Amino acid sequence: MIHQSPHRLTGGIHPDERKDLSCDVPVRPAPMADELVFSLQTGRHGLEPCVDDGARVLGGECIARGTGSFSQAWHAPTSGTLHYIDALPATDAYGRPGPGLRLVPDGEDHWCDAEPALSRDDSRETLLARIEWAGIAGMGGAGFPSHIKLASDKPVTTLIINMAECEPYISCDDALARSQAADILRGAAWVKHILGAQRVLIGIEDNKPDAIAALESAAAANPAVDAEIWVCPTVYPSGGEKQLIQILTGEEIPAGQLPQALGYHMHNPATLVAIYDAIEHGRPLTHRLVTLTGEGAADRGNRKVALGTPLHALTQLAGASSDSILIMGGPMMGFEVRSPAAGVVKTTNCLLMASPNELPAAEPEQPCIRCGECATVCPASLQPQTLFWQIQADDAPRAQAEGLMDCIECGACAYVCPSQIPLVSYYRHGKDQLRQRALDQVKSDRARERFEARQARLDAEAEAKAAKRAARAAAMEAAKSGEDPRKAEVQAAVARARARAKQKDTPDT
Amino acid sequence: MIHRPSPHRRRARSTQDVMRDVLLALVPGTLVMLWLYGPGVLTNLLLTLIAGVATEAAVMRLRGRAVKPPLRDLSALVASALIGLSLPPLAPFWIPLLAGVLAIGLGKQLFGGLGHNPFNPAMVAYAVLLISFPVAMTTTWVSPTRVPDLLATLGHQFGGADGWSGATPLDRYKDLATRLTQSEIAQDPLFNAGLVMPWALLALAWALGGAFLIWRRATFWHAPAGLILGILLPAGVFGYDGDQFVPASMHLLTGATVFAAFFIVTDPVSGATSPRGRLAFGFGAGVLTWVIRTYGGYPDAIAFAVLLMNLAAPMLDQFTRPRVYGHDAARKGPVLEKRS
Repeated sequence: MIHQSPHRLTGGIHPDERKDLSCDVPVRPAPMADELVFSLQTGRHGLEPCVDDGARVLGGECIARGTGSFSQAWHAPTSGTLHYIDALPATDAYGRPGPGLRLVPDGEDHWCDAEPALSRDDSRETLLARIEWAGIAGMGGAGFPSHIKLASDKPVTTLIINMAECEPYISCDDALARSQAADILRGAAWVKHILGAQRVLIGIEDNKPDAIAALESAAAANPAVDAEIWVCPTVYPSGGEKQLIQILTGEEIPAGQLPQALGYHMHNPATLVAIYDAIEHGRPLTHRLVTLTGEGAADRGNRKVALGTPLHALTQLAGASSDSILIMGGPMMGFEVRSPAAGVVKTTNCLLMASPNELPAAEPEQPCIRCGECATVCPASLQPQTLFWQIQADDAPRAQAEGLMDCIECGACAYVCPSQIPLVSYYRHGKDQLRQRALDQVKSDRARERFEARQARLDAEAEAKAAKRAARAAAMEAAKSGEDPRKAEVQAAVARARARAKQKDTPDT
Repeated sequence: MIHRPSPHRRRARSTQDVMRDVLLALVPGTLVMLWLYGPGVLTNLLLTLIAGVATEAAVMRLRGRAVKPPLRDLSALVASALIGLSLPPLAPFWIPLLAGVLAIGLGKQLFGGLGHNPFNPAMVAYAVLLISFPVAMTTTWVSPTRVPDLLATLGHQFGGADGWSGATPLDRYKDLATRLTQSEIAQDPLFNAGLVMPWALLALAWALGGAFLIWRRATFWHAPAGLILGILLPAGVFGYDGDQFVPASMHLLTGATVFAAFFIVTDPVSGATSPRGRLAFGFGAGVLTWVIRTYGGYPDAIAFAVLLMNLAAPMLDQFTRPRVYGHDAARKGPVLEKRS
């Protein structure tokens, strides 16, 4: 069933979509690279390898596991020899080198046996454990571990599949829906089952008619899921979690809360396919669709890429010109790749190889003329110009009071700014400052507590000493005045015992 | 260190483009002014532009900053042109020169240049000149029924010649209304072609430019709508009595009302920035304009009204914040969080 969403997001912009660069080519597999690299810096607590240096591994074998509860395992996408390496750049905006794994494929692509398929009779814990085992993380961009998201104990009424894909250039979700719509719905059926949700909504922008048609026929073929397709107008950033919920339901997620607060759960379609693969085929997450696009690339399109494929292998595959600017993600929220030696991660949805004219370097920043254009496009109804002034004045707390933490960093404000101010960078800086202040606050609280405890202990000790001294003096006095010395001794002992008891009562830290 | 922060794409529309649109939007009104008031309009404009741009360049040099970027953004041209077009067409030559220096030097650069001035630079210059040189600023207007030629204009501006200049229609009407009725006022030679007629044409030309700006999204409709509403509301209520009060049509179509609506209260730097704030800013300026025009001693009141509202703009912004996504209510009033 196709519905037109009756609600709109606030603000928003209409950048050139440029999806035609990549979406017309059918999905092709990328040839296996000469080596695959896996950063162990991924995830909140880092990963540790679970095979030995120099070991031979089979496809599908777990090669690294998370160390904390936010674990995201890596599995070998093919068979080969595994080495430990240092100084592998992380796949993020900073590209800081760190420990990693290098897999040299042997070209035979032997796979280990798949795990047994699970069924509806298996417990929720078993299903979640399987998802954790498969190393599935949100593949839309945030990369949050799916088993933790799905383990939420808040009652969920509605599963929302985020097919909006509002970033320009990116078309991997579109390609996925056109080639694997049935699998998306199968995955949705599992997530619906795990969450106990009643409704499944698919939110999709109207610039993807083929995907809408594919999803519609897949939904008709899988009536058990009872998926409703909601088409919304193409406007950036309709794919933001908060924004898509606003568009589909007209409701807003209360500030500082997750969609679960309203009974919503949102997932990326690629994540759903990975969940379906893990549960029904017992296969871990080892591949994903990556959009290779941009005017700098000669051979554009969506490719099925092994995780860990170095980015330079992809630029080579796409025939990128040497002067092209390499951006992971889209032009609005993606980041410039610092080192093409970094590998594809679970959130690598797009590699944009832009010609220098396509994404010209930022012009020098000019003074803000307070035109207010940014406020008209902000999807959170913030006053970006005010936040900018306050952060510029080094007053992040005031910016926070004006809603800095409600900023989703979509970049719509910076997109329209006639003064070329990199607004999003200012907001990130302000948020960093707030985080730092919170940390400093915790630290200073702790220091104060320690100081106060020490002071209390010293005071108690001094008091006890004084009591002892007084007791001794009393005994001496008694002895001098010629009283019974034994009586004085007893008195002194009593005084000492009292002092001890008093010392025990005071906290000892 | 991130070299290229996101977003990597930007809409190709710079401050310079916005300013160029404003300059273009001034063209039809300037042409009509030229036809109504003669060549004095052009000499005024030329002299303020020269003085304004020279002041901008000189101050940037004094401050040890690059001179070219601020000139390239065209904002000095816009501010100078706005004050140049506000001056009486037969003002002595040193008035436009001083106007350019005051607008850019006192109104803009003294506060730190583009984007930092709390007051509208053109209106700062206008107010200073009006208070300092009331005679030169109020008696050198031209009656559209008797337009001086170039020679007469230059004689007025550079020599001591006289014989062409007079008051503005608003001033004249107010003056005559103290002793005459509306029908008698209409007999005055200044109103030969009707109470509003020649000036209404000028208002129309400014409105044309304003429509262009709104169509180009170089400005928003809120402040102009607010100003016109703010003037028409009191003028409509009191204007029934044409024997005592200036009628609403004259308030709207003569004087600087439409010009100010689209080119003065729309100044983003010194105005309110939220949509409702802009509406309130315009409305406040409109009401104040009517009050000062009616009860004050000056022929026009836009400059004072706008300067007063400039003072209120930051507060207006604080009381007109929209409700942020996910919050129950809009946050009103100043934020007084403890500073770091």
